[in-house]
Amino acid sequence: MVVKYHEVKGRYLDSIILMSISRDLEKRSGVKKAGVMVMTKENRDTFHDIGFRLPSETGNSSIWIAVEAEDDKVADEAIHFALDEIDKDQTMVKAEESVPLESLRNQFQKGDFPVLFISTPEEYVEEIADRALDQGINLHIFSSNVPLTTEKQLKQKGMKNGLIVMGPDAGTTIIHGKGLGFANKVRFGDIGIVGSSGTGIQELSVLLHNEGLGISSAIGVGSNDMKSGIGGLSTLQAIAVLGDMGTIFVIAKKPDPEVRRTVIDRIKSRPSVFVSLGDSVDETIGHTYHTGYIDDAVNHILRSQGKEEIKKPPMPAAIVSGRRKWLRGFFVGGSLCYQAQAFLKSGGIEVFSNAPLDNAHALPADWENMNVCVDTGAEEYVKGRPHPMIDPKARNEMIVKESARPDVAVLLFDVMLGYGSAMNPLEGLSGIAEGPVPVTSICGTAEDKQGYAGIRKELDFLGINVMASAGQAAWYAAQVMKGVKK
Amino acid sequence: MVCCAGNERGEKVIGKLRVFNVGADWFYEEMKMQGIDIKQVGWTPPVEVPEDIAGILASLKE
Repeated sequence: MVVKYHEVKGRYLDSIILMSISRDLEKRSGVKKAGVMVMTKENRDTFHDIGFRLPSETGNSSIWIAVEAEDDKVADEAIHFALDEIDKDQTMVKAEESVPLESLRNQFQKGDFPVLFISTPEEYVEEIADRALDQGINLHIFSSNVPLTTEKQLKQKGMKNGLIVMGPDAGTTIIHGKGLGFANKVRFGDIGIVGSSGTGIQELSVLLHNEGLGISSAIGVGSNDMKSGIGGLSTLQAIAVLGDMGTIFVIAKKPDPEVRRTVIDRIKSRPSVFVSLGDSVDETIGHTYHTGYIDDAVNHILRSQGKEEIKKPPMPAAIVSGRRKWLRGFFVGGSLCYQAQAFLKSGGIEVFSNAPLDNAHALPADWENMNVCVDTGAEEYVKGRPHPMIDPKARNEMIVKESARPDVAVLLFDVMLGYGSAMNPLEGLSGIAEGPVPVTSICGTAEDKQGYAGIRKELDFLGINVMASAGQAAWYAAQVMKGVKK
Repeated sequence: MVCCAGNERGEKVIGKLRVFNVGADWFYEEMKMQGIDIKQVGWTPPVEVPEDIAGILASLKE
């Protein structure tokens, strides 16, 4: 085996393109592993984690290609392939459509809602965000791993200037029916959503849409906003921004209890719902309904409007054989993974996860003989590869691999549609083996770009049980697991 | 407040959405597909200049 490195100076390509090139390199015959990344501190660690020792003098901002191959020739050809791909993809956005960061102020008018959507490596976020706030621009920061102190400073500065900072680590926002980041095409209406959970916002907005209701706006505030370090700064601001028309939903994963109390105090005088994912709660505080489940939140508003609740699935008829014991959950959406664990727990099923409900159920290195729910969008699974929402193949390969095991009883997973998500979220799933009970739900609407009907048809063809919501899929999985004899 | 304006019913509403994208082209394309008024920000990571060169540049600037 030989290892070769190549530096491309003075060029920049976004990480999604580079990770796709990495994946294509690894498919080449004779290539054992490969990485193509812009050199940042974090990417240096990522190279290290996947077994590449780059020269110590590598500077920031260059693109580095690393290849381990069976011989020199294969390694050289792989590097040339990567260079060609880098050249090919450099001009995706036409030069005339791009504007310098310094002159954004001239690109909008009074009364507009200007937003800078940031998805750069995290070490550049603070400077870019700061410069945008100085120009009177709101922020949607998709990038994650930004220090909490930086997040708080940016949010405080934004508030001072009458601007909102959505994120960091904000996956989803919908404004006037348009999605920023990962979002579904949903009907316009009078329901406002504020959330620190991206896939939580998606699932909630999709279920409301599919029940005939509409969304005015959905504001993603970032995964840390409702933690004690930030104190819900953007959540409270977003509630004010949305105004007081219609019902407001606030959704969070693991909110800090004090922050949750503050937010509920703010909304309890109006029709509202607070979803704290994973909490075992079902109460009403003032006019606020407080629940731990997205389906319950939607059913609450349906009941209040005299409508029927989301149709419940029948009890599963599937009985798994005695050899099949374990549940395998593989999720693209972190919040849906979290909610699934809560459903399973309430059904008496012990489950372990890399994003667990509590520390006692953290996923160990060897998880062969236990029930697991894996958030495949978590940092450890996306190092050097695209998020499974954008490229679901690696996640789907996990499902296919586990389906072949004789001791797996249930396969539980999510299918995410919408803007930002892959055109074919089922890529690589066709090899799923018969035996375990496969259960899923589609987080999508008939208007989403992937084509809901076609996705549904393919899942039916593969023999997968498709439920109306992620919650129902988890409930169904729990019912099947109850019939499993250990 | 830049983000909001009052409407006739006295409610705060969000003004016309104008998006600037910095970073992944993927999101630029996805937002453009929806008809969002969007512009890509021309940005690349700052080049790391070796200390000796940085010293020379700084002295020239002075």
